[in-house]
Amino acid sequence: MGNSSEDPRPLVMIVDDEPDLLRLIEICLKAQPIQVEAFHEGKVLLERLARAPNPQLIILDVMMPVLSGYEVCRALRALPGCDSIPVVFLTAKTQARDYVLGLESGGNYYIEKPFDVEKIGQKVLGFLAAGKGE
Amino acid sequence: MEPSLGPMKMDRRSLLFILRLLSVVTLGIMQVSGPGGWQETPPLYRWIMLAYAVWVLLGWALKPKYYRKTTILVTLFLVDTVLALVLLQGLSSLYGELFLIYFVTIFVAVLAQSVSGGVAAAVLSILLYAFLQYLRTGQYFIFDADHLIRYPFILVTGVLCGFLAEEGQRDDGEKKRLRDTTNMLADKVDLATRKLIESNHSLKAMLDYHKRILSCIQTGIVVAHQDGIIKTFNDGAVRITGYLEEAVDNKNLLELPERLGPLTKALQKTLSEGKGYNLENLEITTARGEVLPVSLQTSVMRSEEGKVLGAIATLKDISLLRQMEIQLTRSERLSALGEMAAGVAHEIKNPLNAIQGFSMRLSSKVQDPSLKKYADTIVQEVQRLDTIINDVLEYSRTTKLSKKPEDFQKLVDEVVQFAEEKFEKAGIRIVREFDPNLPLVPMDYNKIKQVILNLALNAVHAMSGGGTLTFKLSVAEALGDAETPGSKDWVAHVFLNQKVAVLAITDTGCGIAPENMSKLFHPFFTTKTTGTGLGLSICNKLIESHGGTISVQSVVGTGTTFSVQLPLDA
Repeated sequence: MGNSSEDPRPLVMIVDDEPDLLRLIEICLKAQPIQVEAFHEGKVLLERLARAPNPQLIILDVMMPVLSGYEVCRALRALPGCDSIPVVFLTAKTQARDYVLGLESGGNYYIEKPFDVEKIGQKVLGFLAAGKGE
Repeated sequence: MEPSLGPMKMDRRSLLFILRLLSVVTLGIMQVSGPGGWQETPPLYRWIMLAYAVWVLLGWALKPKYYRKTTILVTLFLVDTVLALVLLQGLSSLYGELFLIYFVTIFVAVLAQSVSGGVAAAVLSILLYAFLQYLRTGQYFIFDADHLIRYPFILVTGVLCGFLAEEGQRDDGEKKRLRDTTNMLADKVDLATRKLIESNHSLKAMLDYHKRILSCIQTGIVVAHQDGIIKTFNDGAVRITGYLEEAVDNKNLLELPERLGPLTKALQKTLSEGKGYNLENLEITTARGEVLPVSLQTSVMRSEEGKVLGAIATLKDISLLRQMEIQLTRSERLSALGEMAAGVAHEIKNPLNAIQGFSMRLSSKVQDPSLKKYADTIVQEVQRLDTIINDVLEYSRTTKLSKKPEDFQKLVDEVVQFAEEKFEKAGIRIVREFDPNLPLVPMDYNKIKQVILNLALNAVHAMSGGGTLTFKLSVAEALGDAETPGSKDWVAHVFLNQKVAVLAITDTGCGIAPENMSKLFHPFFTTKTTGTGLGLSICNKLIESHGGTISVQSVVGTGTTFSVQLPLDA
């Protein structure tokens, strides 16, 4: 779960209040050449980002206690160095209104739950590649 | 425009040339037919003869203008006289001298170009003749009877040649005057013709200019002469009434179609009463059968003396105004409703928060699974209510825009990227058709992004079995020919001749039933089982706040196109 500055693999941070789901995503991503840091709530992520805004991608759940995924996204966009980090919403909310809120809060991708466990790793690699391309 | 003076015209050069040639020929004949003939003539005289002939020919080579110069003429005369004299001396003939005398007489008389000159030439010749005779014989023969008889002939020759030359000159003068007069007249005719052509062009240009003005005016203009004959029916009138100019022009008011009744009556009344009318809120039925609200003003056309020449009617299509009034009333009503809804929503949100909080607490406290399920249901429903209230608040909120020129293509790409996963899952293929020349579009980036995402997600909903979703970006002249929110055509009028960026989002989904088309943008109208029905209303409001429009075209079973038009010069 640690991050080494010498490690050439991209760093992805995940936030989800469901521990099992968080673990599952972590396993899926670690199967790829990706470093992963997982958080149970958005507040902790924001503190971590305030110290070092170094991830290449952030994956956020939406329905979380204290701060929703949208709120976390809005807050992190205000942090120095975080305005261009791609943010993926991974959520069970599927209404158009949710998409609009996600887009409004500054998200770049929206994935509905349940997600495809086999493909999520590849998908995240695709997002990382697109982020590099930009 | 030099007029021809006829083939018989003989100028001074020709006349002199003929005379001098005659002189050469005569002297030549005298040499040939002399006592010794040509063989006995000394070689010097032959050469002089030849030189004389060449001299005469050279004279012909001189241009006519030199024959007006006295020095040239005197030179010719002197050289000719000397040569002829030498030759005559060589011929030693009395007749030769006589020939010389005649030659001198004619030559000088022609040069003098007058009767008096001819007389002087004759006297000079007689004196010369007497002198030559004296040189030859040493005696004066002036009063000799043989010679006296010759003097009148010389005198007559001189007078005649002088007279003829004078006449010729007078004739030339007349011809010149005639030519000058003709030239002057031709110039005047030319000038008059040019002025006439110019004036004709100006008239045509002015006529064209006035026709163009009449044609370009949106207002209908109809002019009837005093006898009731329609003389002007401009393009504006054609557009408004739907009747072609040919069907109305030069017809009597009584012959106009019945549908144009209000117009006909107003013109007749104006002609008969000699005063204009201002008629608002009239209705005419067009040739297409549509009832059109119009305003009509008539005025009397009078001569300078105040005589009634005809009547002029101006016809204005006020349907746009009517539509805008309706739109305004509707907007005001909605605005009031929105304000009320916003007030109510704020009041509701507080108790909802309490219900949600206590329900969540209840859910965590109760052990009975069925009771826990009820508590969770309350939480979910409260969340749904919260969503609806948020939408109502969003709809009723005064939209504050932060507009600046933005890259519309980038915006569409970002929206597509954001919902990529959803498109993929729904089996939807994305097609992008972007005009590479699309300029930056003034907009509030986040608001327009929200609109495009909403429209794209609606398209996904319409394509439950998958399909193709096309995003086409282009620049166009604004045309609101499709169903537009509120009214059908007024947006097109507002945008007339304005450049707009158009994003057309076309799906291959189930289409929209015709009866739902006019309600699409109404608040709370939805065909979905979920959602508040405010999505499209909010989209419409956001686009309208940009000064743009959303239009929609749909064919059931084929698909739907939502077109967002944003003005480029906003």
